[in-house]
Amino acid sequence: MPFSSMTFLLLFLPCVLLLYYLFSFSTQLQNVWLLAASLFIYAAGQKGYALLLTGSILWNWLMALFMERAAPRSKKALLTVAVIVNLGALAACKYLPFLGEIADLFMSTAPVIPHIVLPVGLSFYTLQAIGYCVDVYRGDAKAARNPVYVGLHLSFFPKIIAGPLISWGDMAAQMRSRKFQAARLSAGVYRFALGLVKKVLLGSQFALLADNIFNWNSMGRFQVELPVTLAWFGLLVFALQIYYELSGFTDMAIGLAAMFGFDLPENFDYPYAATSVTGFWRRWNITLTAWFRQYLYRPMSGRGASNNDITVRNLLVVWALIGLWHGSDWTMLFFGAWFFVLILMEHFFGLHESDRMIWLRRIYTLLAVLAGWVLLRAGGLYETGRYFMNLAGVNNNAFLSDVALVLLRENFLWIVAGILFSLPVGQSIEHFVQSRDSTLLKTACNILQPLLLCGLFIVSIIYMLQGNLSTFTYF
Amino acid sequence: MESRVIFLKHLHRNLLFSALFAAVWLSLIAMATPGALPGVLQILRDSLSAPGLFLSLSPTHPPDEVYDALESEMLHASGIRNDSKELFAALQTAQQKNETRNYLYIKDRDGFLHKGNFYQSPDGLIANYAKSLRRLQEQLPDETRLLFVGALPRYVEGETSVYSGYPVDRQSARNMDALQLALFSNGIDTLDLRYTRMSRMSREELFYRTDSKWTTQAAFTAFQILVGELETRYDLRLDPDGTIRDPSGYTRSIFPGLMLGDMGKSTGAIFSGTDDFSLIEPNFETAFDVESYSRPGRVSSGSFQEVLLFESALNAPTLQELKPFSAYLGSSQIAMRIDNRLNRDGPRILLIGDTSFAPVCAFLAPAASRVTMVTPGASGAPPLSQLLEETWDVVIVAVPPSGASADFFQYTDSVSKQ
Repeated sequence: MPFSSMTFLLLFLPCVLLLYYLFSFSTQLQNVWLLAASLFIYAAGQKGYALLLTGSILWNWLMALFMERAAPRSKKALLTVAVIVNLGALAACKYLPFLGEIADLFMSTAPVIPHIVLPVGLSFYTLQAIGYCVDVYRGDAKAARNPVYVGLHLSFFPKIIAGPLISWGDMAAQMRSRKFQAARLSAGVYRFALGLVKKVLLGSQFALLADNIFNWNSMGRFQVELPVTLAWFGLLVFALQIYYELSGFTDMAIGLAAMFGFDLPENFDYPYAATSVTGFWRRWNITLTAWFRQYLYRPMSGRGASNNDITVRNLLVVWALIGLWHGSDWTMLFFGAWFFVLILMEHFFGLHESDRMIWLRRIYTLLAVLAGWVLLRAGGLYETGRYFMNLAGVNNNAFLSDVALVLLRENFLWIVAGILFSLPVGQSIEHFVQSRDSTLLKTACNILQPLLLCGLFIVSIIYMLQGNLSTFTYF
Repeated sequence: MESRVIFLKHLHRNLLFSALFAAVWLSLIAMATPGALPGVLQILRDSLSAPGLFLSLSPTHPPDEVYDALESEMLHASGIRNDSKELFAALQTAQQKNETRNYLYIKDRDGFLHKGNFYQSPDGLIANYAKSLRRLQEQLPDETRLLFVGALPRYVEGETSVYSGYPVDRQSARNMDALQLALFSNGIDTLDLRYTRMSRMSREELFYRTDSKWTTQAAFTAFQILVGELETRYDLRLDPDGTIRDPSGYTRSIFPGLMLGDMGKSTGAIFSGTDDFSLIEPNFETAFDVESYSRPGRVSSGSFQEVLLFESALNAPTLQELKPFSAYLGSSQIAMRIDNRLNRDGPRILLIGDTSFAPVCAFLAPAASRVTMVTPGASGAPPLSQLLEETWDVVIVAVPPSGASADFFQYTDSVSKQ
């Protein structure tokens, strides 16, 4: 169930909040209520798969308990089984068609693959579940005796759909004890509204534009090829779309969690201001890349001395898996490989540590990331190839496009706002205001900012009511 | 810890916003829930009583079922979607936009709305449409003629002043060209209204700014031309002395600002503006028996004004609810038989037509002994084979360029497949 829906905003959220605060006398009861609400919201969105989620909760709860009590030798076996089952469910739902495609290359008769609708949030809660089991295995955290804790950790509705990922240790501490704070609640409300505005007014509007252009690219071979300027415009709006959809979603998740007394980690830090691809991935979907670093890259590197060969191997595996995590086809392998090559290059040449030629490095980073986004969005290797050819103007396509000018004219306000706020402009303004001694300026900002956001929130509601939203998913 | 510091740092800002947010949020809840609550509770009751909510694990089960039902109930039953339409239109207008709803509708320099079409691709089924009409013609008795009438396109290349770069639907007009050509090669008689005196009418006379259909005046002119063509080509005595076609035999009433067409209803009146609606009705004596196929056996008898005009369509509390174009024949889904009691021996006409031909059908009624009109897909519409059991002097298939689609020709094709 999207947060940017009337059902969530006007029906579920008020009910869940009201009962949550009615149960203020018992944190345990609040946890049970949040788990029930999370499962219900999940079931209402994708009804069949609530059972899969419940199964995952029970499985990981039991395995962690067994692991904690098991002898060191059988601990490892239990962890292996737990991880295999978690990945097995993910593979069955997400990667079966791709595996069938690979099998088709080597087998004379193509295997029959059933069509399975990907359960929402499966990619995220599987990572959370594996992280939980590994933390217990390593002794970094204690296994939960109460399945409600594991259930809430995996299914907590603000974060189940698209993160941010949070470690079991951080989540468990907050589940055990948290206190009501008006400051936190109000900050949560502010953050949620900010996320909604980003998602609805920027992300979704850019998505509509990007969809039109990328669909044109896919259909181009039957009609007129995508002109160069329109192809670049499409790529720009897709870059903005994906940022505002995801960071807006994260803001909503963090805001909602704060309303229930939880702190979730930040997930985006102005990634388009990065000066290297390595830096970009440290600012983009931070908790996802941190998960891969913590639970895959570091264990593979081991404690011994590392050499360049091992680094290359580890980076290749990590980026192939990050690519596949984003989608289950060959294009996503290329997506991972593209970033692997760039990060490897930066690693060996020390590019990501250099402070020279900042603007040139920003342009390089942006172009490299944009190229990666073509792989993510074009819809296949063939379409990716066509898009690159259209960008370069070597596909018998025109250079100028009056459609691009129209799209720019019609959405000028949002595009300018989108570009500005994808960079730390807001932060700079705030620093400027805070560094002045003028109380009047600070007070004016404290009044104008909420008023502006409230106005934008109302505009977002009107857009939501008119159904002018995209149904974009990242994973 | 850091985030807690941030919470406190912006405390005043956050508290002020929370108060504003609560006010907006609670107002929305108060507006939406009373209307939607009964439906929402019903959906939840149905979902929870069915074991499927949590227990079924069906990979092929369509996702988002409960959510979709709830969201639809929240948006539509609550009424807030309709209430906010004009606010949305105001926002679009404030941004000086010429398009709305992701290029679904585009406004030209003169304020006429057009349908948008990002991917202008030819209709690959045009040859099939022509063949279906040829098969229909082959099934008709020799004395029954088949005439295809193509109405005028809203967008005319080189004439319609659209801002450069806007993806206005140009393809419908091109598809109509291709269809006329295909019909010609299949030996079907055609009347292309683009090449009649209607081409000299101004756009204001031909089309509403806010509606995809033509004006009543255009429909009346099309009726005049059609009668003339039927008389000349097939020697049908529809209006030998020209009195029925004479404009002086009709009263024209204008209702300023009353028309918010189908496109305007979607975009909102603030974005599209409104049109004046003109009602043309005969002031000579008329008498009809009218029977709707959806309510067989219930025959209404009376004059043009009593049985073919539905003035109730001109009376509604809001522009969104008004349907002035339905003043003729009373509905956008038409399946009805009109018998002219004053001309029992006149020609019999079967009109398979798009809704925009409803006024044409009404104007034809005094000239014929029987006119039956069916809009393909209308509820209660009889199968074409059943209609063809009757004797007709002429079968007219009439459609504007935007309506020439597989859905439309499915109806005419049905008879040849039996």
